[in-house]
Amino acid sequence: MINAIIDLYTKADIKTISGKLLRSSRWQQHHFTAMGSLQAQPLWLDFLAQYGVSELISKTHSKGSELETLQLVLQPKKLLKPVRLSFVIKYNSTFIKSVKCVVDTLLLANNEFTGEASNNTLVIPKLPKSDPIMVSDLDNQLHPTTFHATPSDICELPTQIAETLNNWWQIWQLNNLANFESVYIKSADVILAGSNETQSKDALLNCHLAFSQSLSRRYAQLETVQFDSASNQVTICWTLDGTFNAKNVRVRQQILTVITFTNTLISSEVMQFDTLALNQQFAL
Amino acid sequence: MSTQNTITQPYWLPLSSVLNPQSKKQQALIGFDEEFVDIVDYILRITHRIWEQKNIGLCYRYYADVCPVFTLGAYGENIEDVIQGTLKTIAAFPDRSLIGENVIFSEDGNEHYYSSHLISSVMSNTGNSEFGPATNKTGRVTTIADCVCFENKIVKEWLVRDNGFLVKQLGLSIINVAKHMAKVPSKEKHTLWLNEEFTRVQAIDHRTPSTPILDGELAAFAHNWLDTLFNQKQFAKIHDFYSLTATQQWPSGRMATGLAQINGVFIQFFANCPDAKLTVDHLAITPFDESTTDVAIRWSLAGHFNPQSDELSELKNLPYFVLGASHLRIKNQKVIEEVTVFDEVALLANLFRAHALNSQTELEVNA
Repeated sequence: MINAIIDLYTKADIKTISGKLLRSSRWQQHHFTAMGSLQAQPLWLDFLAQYGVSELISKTHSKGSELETLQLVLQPKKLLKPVRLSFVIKYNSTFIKSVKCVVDTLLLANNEFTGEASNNTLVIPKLPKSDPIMVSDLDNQLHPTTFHATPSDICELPTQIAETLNNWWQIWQLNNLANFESVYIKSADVILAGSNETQSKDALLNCHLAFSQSLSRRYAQLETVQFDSASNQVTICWTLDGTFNAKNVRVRQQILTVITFTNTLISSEVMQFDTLALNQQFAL
Repeated sequence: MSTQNTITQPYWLPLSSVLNPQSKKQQALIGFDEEFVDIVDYILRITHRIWEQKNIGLCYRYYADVCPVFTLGAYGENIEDVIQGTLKTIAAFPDRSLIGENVIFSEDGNEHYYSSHLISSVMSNTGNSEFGPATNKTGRVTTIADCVCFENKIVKEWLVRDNGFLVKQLGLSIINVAKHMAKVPSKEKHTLWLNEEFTRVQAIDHRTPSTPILDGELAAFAHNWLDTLFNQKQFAKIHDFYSLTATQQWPSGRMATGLAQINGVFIQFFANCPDAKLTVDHLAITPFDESTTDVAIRWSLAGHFNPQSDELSELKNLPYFVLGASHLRIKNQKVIEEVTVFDEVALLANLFRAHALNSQTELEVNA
């Protein structure tokens, strides 16, 4: 399955990946849900047409109990700099049931074509129309009598990792920003949407603060947490709801975080989200 | 003869396997064509033949001559209505796929089978439809078709489709489409059915628990879910019913994961109809795998409209009736996945029709 996804981008092998999808399979990309290969193929073809066939620069792969995670760094032929695509995949021995694919569109928009410069205005019109979801307003307070998922609630984790991961989640769910100092090793590497450069954890703090400035009444919700004991890696799919202050509209950002632990602390974190899809989905 | 764990389960099945079932007969299916191995196989294959192979005439084989079909937007009474409706939809959406995602069923003692078929469709609107002129856009839509099947034929059907979500993907406004649809008057029998159903549901005592229509723990759970949340609006009890990361799909694009978001969906929806009462009209329970069970519920909801949008203010306090269906996947006594379907476009169209009728009556009285 993993190779079928890699070959899609590196060999334009649409046939193999199409054969792995059921008609009921979901391929989520750019906040749009494609059903089966019929709807997914235009997504793949658009990527190939815009950016060309890619060379694989690097891949990382981890397996949880129900889902697998694949992170690709690709160098498309028509772009000067690499792009990052991340996948969370549910499959059995024969078929893929669902794929959540996060394309770092900011990285695409900040890229340069071999012939001309790229920017947001070139990328957004090429995105599929996002799902017209309604984000219902909610009580974002964590009342003592309400229940809010934490990583260890929904995934079996070794005790020490559970503690660190729960503290990491408090950064996003409770704004416990001081936890940045306690859950990471000092030299932790961070890759954040919009850049392929390795940064320090300060980049995450800045990202958090940027969210806090643009979104009020935020609520962070876990979707899935998968732990791969072999690589000591956790993949977290989560969402951040909030009111986009500039337009007073409720929005929901889908976020994918891959965390690697060294001993019991976080030594690397990749945080991916599709900013331009969000902008398009909610007309921001 | 029922051997539920080997009944067809389409979750991981490719279409080729759906169309060529390899298992032996799993249910007696007295009076059904010999080729069908179980009721799920029957539903999946006849749906494919009629809709995707465009053998609309097969309705004559698989529908009874008199076959009431209830939807929120219309009422059909016989086979000809089914055929004409199918043809119109296929003409407006010629590439419509009907992907059978699940069939939850029950079987009663007199060889009647009741199926609740969860369908996803991808369809391009290239022809004029009930929503208006062709948009040439593609959308996906969720449908739940509840059928009573007897001796190879569907003899009664309740059909709910999430037209609100479809209309939005076609680039249209739900309110504008509802206004457009309201220009076509309802047939008398449809209006009669809506009024009778509204009265029936309004008459219940929603403060006392409903009597489960099936035995067993999960039937009690389903009733309790609806009584507590829909009838009694005790939203703090959501954690009694949903897992911490449960997913919820509600009409017109209401999507939620987890208790807070689900709570938000319920509160925002019920604000439209704060005096809503609900009845459980049918229940079916089928195992999904070793640890999870699927529950299908058909329900009716009635109250009075409290519009949340200024565009709908003229419809305030009009009778509000919803025919709905929910599929729940339950694990460890908690819902892990919910799909609830009703037609919000038809719901609003009915309100606009009622408003027009009231206005006309007022004019006549004043004249």
